[in-house]
Amino acid sequence: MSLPRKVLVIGSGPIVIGQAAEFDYAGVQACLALRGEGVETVLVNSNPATVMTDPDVGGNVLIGPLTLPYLQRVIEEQRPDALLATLGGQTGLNLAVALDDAGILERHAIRVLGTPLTAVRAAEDRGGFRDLVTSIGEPVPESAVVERLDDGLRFMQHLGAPVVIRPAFTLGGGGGGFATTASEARQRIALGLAASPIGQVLVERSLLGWLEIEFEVVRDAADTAIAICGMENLDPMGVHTGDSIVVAPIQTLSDRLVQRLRRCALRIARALRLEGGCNVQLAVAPDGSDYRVIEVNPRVSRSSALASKATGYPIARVAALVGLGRRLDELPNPATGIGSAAFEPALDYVVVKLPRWPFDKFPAADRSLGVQMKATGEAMAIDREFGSALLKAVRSLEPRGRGWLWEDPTWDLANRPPADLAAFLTPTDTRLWRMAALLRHEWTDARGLSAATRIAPWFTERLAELAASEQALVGSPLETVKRTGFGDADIAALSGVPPAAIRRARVRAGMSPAYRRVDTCAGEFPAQTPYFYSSYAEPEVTPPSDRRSVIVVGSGPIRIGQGIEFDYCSVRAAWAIREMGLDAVVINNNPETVSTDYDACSRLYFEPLDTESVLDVIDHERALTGEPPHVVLTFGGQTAIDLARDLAYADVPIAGLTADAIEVTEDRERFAQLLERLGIDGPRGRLAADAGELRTAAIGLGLPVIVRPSWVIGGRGIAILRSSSDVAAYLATDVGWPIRVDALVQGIELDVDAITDGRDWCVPAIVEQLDPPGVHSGDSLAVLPPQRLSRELQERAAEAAGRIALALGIRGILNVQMIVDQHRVVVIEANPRASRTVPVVAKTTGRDIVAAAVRCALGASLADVGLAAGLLADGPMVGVKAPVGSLWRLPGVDSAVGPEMRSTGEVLGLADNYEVARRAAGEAAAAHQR
Amino acid sequence: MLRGAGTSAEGDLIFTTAATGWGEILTDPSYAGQMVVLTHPMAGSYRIDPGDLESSRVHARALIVTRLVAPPAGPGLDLEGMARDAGIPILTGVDTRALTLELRRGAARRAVVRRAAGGATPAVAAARASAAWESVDHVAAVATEQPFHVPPVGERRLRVVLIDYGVKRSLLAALAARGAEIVGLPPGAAADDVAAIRPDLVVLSPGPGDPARMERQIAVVRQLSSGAIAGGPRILGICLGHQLLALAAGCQTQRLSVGHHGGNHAVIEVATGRVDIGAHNHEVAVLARPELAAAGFAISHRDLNDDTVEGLVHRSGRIASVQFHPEGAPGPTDGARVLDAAIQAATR
Repeated sequence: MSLPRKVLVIGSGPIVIGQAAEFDYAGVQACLALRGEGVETVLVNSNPATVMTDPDVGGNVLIGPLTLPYLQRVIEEQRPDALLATLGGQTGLNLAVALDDAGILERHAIRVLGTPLTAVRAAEDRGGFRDLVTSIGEPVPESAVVERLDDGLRFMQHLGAPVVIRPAFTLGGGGGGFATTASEARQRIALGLAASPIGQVLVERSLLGWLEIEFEVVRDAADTAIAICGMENLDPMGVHTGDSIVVAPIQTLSDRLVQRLRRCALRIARALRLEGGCNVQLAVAPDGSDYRVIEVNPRVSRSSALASKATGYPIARVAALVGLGRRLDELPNPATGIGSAAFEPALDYVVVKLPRWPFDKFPAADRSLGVQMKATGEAMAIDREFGSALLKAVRSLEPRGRGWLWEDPTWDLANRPPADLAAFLTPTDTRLWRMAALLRHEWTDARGLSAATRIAPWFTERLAELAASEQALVGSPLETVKRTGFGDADIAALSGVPPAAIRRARVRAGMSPAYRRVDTCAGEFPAQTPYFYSSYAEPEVTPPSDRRSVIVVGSGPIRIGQGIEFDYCSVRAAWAIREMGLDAVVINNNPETVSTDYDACSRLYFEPLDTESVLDVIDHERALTGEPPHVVLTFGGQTAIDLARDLAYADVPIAGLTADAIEVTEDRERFAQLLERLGIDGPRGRLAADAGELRTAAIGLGLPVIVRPSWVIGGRGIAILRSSSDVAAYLATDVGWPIRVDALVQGIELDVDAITDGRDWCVPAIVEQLDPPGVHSGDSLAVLPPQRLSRELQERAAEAAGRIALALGIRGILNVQMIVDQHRVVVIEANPRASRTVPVVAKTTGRDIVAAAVRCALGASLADVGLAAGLLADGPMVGVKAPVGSLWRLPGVDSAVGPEMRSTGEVLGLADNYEVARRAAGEAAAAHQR
Repeated sequence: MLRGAGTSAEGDLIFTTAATGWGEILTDPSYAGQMVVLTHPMAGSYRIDPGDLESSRVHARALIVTRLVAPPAGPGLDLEGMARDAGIPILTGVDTRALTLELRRGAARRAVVRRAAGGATPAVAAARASAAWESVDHVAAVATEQPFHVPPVGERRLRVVLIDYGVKRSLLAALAARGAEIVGLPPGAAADDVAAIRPDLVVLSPGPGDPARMERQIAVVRQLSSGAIAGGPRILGICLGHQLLALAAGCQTQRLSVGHHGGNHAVIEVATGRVDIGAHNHEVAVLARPELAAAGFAISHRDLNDDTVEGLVHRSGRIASVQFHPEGAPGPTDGARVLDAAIQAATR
């Protein structure tokens, strides 16, 4: 097969539940792989907060709506001769099918690389899939495809309850669910028919309680098929795999059964004539006697990203090359460089993935887990054993007080057992903690947990072991406790000492984790992968580095308010550092992302982003390079910034930033004082320590007021109080006193990102919010450059930001939110870090502002990074950012916008004038709304 | 910690990257004389179906693991109980990745497992004094002493004589499932013994140890090979059987610096470009030297990781052999078409 000239790659659009950073990772790997083969790429995506939409990655990048008309226009202008459809998630795949259906591919002689669309249709169409699997003698659950409610109900009667309803062609199981009664079924089927773009649902026998197993398969055109990774869900069938705790490799099945399932997965890949990657989901009877094929995704997916990070095998990159017609056996082994890409990774560790749900922001949401995915993100951890990997994964979720030992006080488990164990343990976001608490208080044992949850006994027995270790922890040798996997914070809590004391004891005893290489081959061959995880085990020799390292602290799992934009920032920062001739070291734990691709940095540590793990990596890097590493916290969102205090306490200098500067920006009183000193207007406001003070402040300032606790993320706990009943309602919530009460300033809200070198400042562009103040900036339409402000006012706004940055002693980047009216500039808050707006500014201005910021943080001047001081002149492009939510997935969540952020993602409209850009943003957002 | 039978053991340390299949590994006769290091850190997680065992007893000398886990209650054997009943120790708490990296980098493989009374020195001396793996006739210790018979599953398609150097039950089952009536002969069988049965196909089985020391068997295989080339029964060699075929043809074998033990190596079939993931379990490999071609053999399969010879075919088309295990157990059975091809050729 000859190489194509120009390949169209379709991205997956904004982050929504069920479609997150994994497709940026896949797209980046694919584009770099294609371009590495000398093939030109055309990349279309509406999501600006992606690495793939930078021209040095995507090639010909078109930021625009993921709609058929737009793609048609792109095709007419760019004239690609091939399409890679399987890397943009369900969105990309559906668009590829639509392009084919519309005859556009044929008309423009565009061939589809990799897995043929016929296979895509066969796998995606429920009936076709069933026929295909049955035709090769593999078992599927008894089911019927229906397009009418009556047919569905009749089939359910025939089959018997319970049944599961799955709409065709939807994301993350949207619109699906279980039904045990006829009336439930009536409702579910109707919903499912409405949710499916082709008005089709599958009604099938429920395999509730069976084990759920997934295989990631790669096959090439020469029919070589390999199973990269088998994964086992701790949560049995019934919970969407995106909401499940996932473990790799498979832990509880015999080799005979694993091989049987593996053979099945490979047979399906072959029957589909797959050329690329796919995911096969299987259900296994609890006694292992039987299995069913549940689902196949003929594309890379969240699971393939997880499998890539779990094994070190870059599935998307290899899938893209296979799409070009390369054979697996010809491709070099991506990890060892010796041998070929045709091998199956062997794991000598255990991987645990935990989902991250948005319920902390939406306490009223229905927290039950089922076939519809609700998680916004995930964290992964690697260690030698399941227990220690699990504990590390819990730490990676950044639980903010919800560590392993957390219990909801309303459970009251210290005093009484739950009235109904099974009801207490229905699948919810807190089930893991509930199980741990039940074991801790000895209300049940592993057997009891498994009986109530149908979780395989092997897992509940490991939980019981952890509970036993926890009980024996005080008085046990520290080394033993660390090997079991308990974090310093948990050990401290159980021992009644501060966490720093545990660290001191460890340092005194020379007790630090070893860093193990993820090498794909369990040590059988020498590997070069710069990919490490910590373990309390014997140190593994890593060659020392003669280059000073710069650690970029990542942003962890995606959540509302802290999304893929920080992964974009982290990756661009790492690349800029590498270009400076330094070692770029990344710490992160989100398996979906580009930043956790070991190709994106000099060394990757897959670790929790807490004080313990980050300090451990810093110590290890110091030992490796002989010098203290630079530590960059600016690009990892609030997660990274939150570490500043502890790092400063441990005498770790932070590049371009001091812990005090951070505190000034986060302590609203100190910030108000700073503004006063600089002669910059701040909001009129005061601190309220209790309900009485809040009422007094509200009267004094006059309603409406905006209330915010210090140390917030994504607007959590922020509210606008317009009436005395609002005040009463707010007081009825769990208020984190003290809070700042400010008069709500009317005007136009701005986001200003200033880059400073410590002497001068530069504002590359100002982002103007199109929604009124009070709407969280993450939920607001926004435009840059501003459309409603005079240049003079813009310059005043930029200067305010620049002066604040200099006054804080920042080198690097500072985000300032302000409100301007005709006459004045009122600064609301400052964040001493890259903000959500950075990718939007970067894409619209075409400037790598992350590189500029990180270089300044490491000592470069504005002149060195090619920036003039002051507010830069407007570029030729206008960018309009529109938020995209996916809260329709979360029953019980009020979708009205307010100061609490609700969007999961964003799109950008880009044009040379505002009207067109705004229209493009609207179209792009509409393509992803239901 | 010393668990299982808690006894001492000595033997060669080898590591396997298989994450499952402990029952199969312990009872695979090819592990005779070896102490098996599991790179996968958690062992014993599931109950072992006695039907999955590869022979009637445990052959590995010891199991070395990071963590031994008791399996959930239920039918079947538990790994520790198996080791205990077989009288072999399971050494737990070992950082098996660290040990694997040492072995890969060329650390001595002869080792002892025993309680550390008296410190390391006497243990090291004991390891030094232990018999070298290459010097022991492991085949005699594991293979059948009497001929045996395995009926075909379903319709009989052919008669196979399998010379047993330490065969696994899975291989017998895989052949029987393909319609083979199998007569198993002890490793000392002469060419005449084979001929007397008038087989359609001779299978030279896998087995333990260094083939270079098996002069008697090599001579027999040489006779069988000459017969096959002259139109007598075809031969399929597997693992040790493959090595014996090469030695009988005047070629050489050598112990690998790092043996292949696991289920994740890809093997390419040279003639077709077909790639399969295979189950591997060999310390020794046939050297890719000119003698092979001189003896009429071509390399039919190669390992894609380290280029090891993984299969041979004689230009007569009547002798074929593979180094990997088409029967899997543990590990993939992707390469099972080797068995289909041999049986098809023999029944034509």
